[in-house]
Amino acid sequence: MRPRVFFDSLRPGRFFHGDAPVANAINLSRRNIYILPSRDGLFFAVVLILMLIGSINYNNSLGYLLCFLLGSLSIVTILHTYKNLYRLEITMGEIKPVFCAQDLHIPLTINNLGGPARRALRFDFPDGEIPAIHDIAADTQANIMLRCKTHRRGVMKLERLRISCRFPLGLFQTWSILNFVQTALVYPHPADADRLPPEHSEQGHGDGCQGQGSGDFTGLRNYHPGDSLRHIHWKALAKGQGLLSKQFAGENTRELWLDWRSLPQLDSEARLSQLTRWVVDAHKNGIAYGLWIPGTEITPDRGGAHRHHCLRLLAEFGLAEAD
Amino acid sequence: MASMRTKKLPADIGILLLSVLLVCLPHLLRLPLWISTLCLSLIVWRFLHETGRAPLPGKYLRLFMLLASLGGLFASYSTLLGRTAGSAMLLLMLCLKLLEIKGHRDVVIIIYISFFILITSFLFDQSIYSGAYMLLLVLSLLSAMIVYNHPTTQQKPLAPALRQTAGLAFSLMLQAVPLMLMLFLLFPRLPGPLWSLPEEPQGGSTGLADELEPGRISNLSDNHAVAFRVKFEAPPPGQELLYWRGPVLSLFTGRKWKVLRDDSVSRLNLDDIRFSIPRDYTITLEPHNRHWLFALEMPGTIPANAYLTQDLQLLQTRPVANVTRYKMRAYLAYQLDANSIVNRHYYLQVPEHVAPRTRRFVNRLREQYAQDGRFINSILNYFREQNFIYTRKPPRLDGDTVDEFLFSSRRGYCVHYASSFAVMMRLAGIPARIVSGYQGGEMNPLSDYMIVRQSDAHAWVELWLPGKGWLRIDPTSVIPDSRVEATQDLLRRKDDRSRAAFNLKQGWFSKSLSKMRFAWDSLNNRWNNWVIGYNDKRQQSLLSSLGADNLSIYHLALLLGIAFSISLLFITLFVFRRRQSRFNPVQQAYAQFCHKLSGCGFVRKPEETAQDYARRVIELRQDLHSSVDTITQLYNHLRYARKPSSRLILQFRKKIKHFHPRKTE
Repeated sequence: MRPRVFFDSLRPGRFFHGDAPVANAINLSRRNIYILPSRDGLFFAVVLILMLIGSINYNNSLGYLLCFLLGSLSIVTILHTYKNLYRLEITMGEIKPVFCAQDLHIPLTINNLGGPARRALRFDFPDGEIPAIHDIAADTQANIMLRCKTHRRGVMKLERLRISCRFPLGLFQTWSILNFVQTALVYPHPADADRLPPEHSEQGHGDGCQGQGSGDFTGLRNYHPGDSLRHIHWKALAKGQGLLSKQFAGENTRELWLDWRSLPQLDSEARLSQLTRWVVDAHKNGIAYGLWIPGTEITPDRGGAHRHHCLRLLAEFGLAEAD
Repeated sequence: MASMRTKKLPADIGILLLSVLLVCLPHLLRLPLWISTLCLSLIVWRFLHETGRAPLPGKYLRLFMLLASLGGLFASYSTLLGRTAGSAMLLLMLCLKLLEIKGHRDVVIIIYISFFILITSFLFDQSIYSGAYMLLLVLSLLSAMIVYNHPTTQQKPLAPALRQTAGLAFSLMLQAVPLMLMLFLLFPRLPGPLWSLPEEPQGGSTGLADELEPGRISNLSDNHAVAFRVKFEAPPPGQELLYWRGPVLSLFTGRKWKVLRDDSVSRLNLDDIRFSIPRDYTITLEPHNRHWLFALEMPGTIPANAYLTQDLQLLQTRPVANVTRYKMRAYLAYQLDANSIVNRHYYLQVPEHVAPRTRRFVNRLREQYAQDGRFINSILNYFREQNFIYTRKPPRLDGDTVDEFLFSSRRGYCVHYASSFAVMMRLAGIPARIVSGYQGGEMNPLSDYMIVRQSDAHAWVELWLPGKGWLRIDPTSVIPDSRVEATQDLLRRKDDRSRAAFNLKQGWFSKSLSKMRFAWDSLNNRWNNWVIGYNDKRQQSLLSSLGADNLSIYHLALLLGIAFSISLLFITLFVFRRRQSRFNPVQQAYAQFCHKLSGCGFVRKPEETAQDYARRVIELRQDLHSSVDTITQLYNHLRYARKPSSRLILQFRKKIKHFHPRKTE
């Protein structure tokens, strides 16, 4: 379908929004690199024209020579500025979820094998506020970490990552808009730790022994990220059976329900915030917890995957319908 | 007093300050002392601030300095416009701006003003030196632009940062040079100014003056600066015929000879000159900021923008402020105004009280020789036979210059002889005037043009005789060689052969020195012809020598566009040339393999080994099992083998070339 590709390439929106998002590497080529004079460049052009008029008027040969040298230099820098982006291959790595108001860390792999040195590449998101400037040595592959501010919970699309460059003279700005399909998950902002979760347990388990790991050993299960290191069955690991966690009866007795309904005095965002805080704290203390929010109930469990599952639900709560 | 911590000069501001200093340097000697001092101290101030030794001035102090320097400029120049005052103002603004650099924009302004100052400096000087200095300055300003667009270099120490940015700036300049030459040669040149320029009082004219005062300046300067260069179409005439006519001095005040400023004189056309064989030549005149052009006697053509006065001075309508090239034709044998003389009384006047002794002497001789020719000869014989000495260092004459020279000092150079001779002629009733100019010239042995220097300046006399017209008499030439006290003048009188004999006697050192001087001069000559003197006419003649006559401005622009695009194409190919990868062919081929697989959704993670990557691919794509497996094994073998066989490498690359994974989704 060549003609469609061609007409698609003429779409003016590409200029500002870039192409449709892609999952794998983006190759910077003639198709997606743009270049225009910067503001400094336009100002320079005005200065050059004034100088040329002066040279014509005084019929001053060295004046002509200087004007033509500077004019030719600015033409040559178009090539050099463009070359800074040309034939780069950029891949976005996996992005770890963060809590709202923390910075996202976005790993990029920039493949410059066989390419020249790139200088002063600038990366920024339309409202990310933290531009990063990187040099990339010739013939290397570089891993860089971008940071991006987060403002609201939910799935954040990493649209319109702009890679731009003005090197060497700043007269021209070349740029490309990179759209990756990768999204970042932003958990709700955890509330301050001054409210304790309700102590009652709906499942009817009474208070058990306090203190961790002091109960009766009940068995082994697969290790979940977040399990206490003290509970890892090291002998099994040494035998090559993989990571196993020891289970103790005493822990199961303390089971927590984090319930949306227990916070009637707060609005829904504040409730999400509070529930997030409780999830984080419960996870940190190794307590099994369940979560109830309107429409969903998660049975108590512990471990990293459980935590992520809960936090994800909190992050996306009420947003899926809106989209 | 708060003690400030000293620190190292940051690279970016360091390069900027260096550039500004270079911009100022050539102007410092030319400008009034207070401006030079102020500019330098502002640069030093910024330097001290950057190294943590001085605070910057506040807003009000800056404003005060701005107003004070504007006031000072107005007091020094009584205007803020025009090239002299204007460039001084730009320079002060530039240095004041150094004290308020807040952000990127201020730096950009400083750099652009610097370019502007650089171009205004060419209004004063267009020598080779200033062309070379331009390149140095552009290099330095480009370095400043680069460092301000490259945060990584800004953090380096000054010296490596400067080396790195200057290297890059240099390669940028080299790439721009072909385009610049295209533009310079083919950009349509306009013959005249776009708007009329204000006549400015010209600073420092050089060369001949418009008046002569024999007794006053006691030493003739030994100025070897070039006055003009001449290229003859045919072999040049002999030295004794090379009289380069300049200002004609017809008005005698008693002490001074002056140019007759008579606007009523009609512009003469050249039909009055009876012709011999024409001699064609081209003069490249160094700027001297006066109106006159020099031409071999007698000129037979008038260059554009010039006219000829009644007394045959060739004047340009505007002062010669740039190197000027003009083609001329001369008639060495001529007869001028043979039958009539205009304004005869001008050429006979001598103030009443002047030269009483000379008057008596002339009257006595005139009684003896009534015929003009014999009278003239008797005067020349007087110079020849009496003890007159030619010297470049005559004594000052405080009394009556004519009497004193003729009867007591008898030491002088051309002006003394011409002046006293002309006065004697006038007293005898023969119309006479002094012509100043240059006499002789030296061929550049390394090239084919003649150099005429300021030290060749000369003055001679023109007499008008009925039926014969204006005749040239050079009274200095009758002084015999034995009474000439200056070697260089003696040499000038000789022909080229005896000159060569003299040169042979010189040692190897002075011989090679003079060779170097001539080489340098022919470089200057080329510079004048191809750079400074390149104009619309030169452009047309270049194009017609390439076979394109009378191109219109549109065709010229079209030609420029084509030539420019072609050179740009080559530069683009050069800039985007593929580099030989440092990675060996094996790794390059493997990168290609990974690229092909990433098209199917398998992007190799940076931390993944080749083995892990292959395992991950095969897990999901059984159909690729065999090919991925072979390639990976080959890769591991080739990469870690001490000396992989080239046959295997070839096989490996071939396998990857023919590896075409199908996309599943």
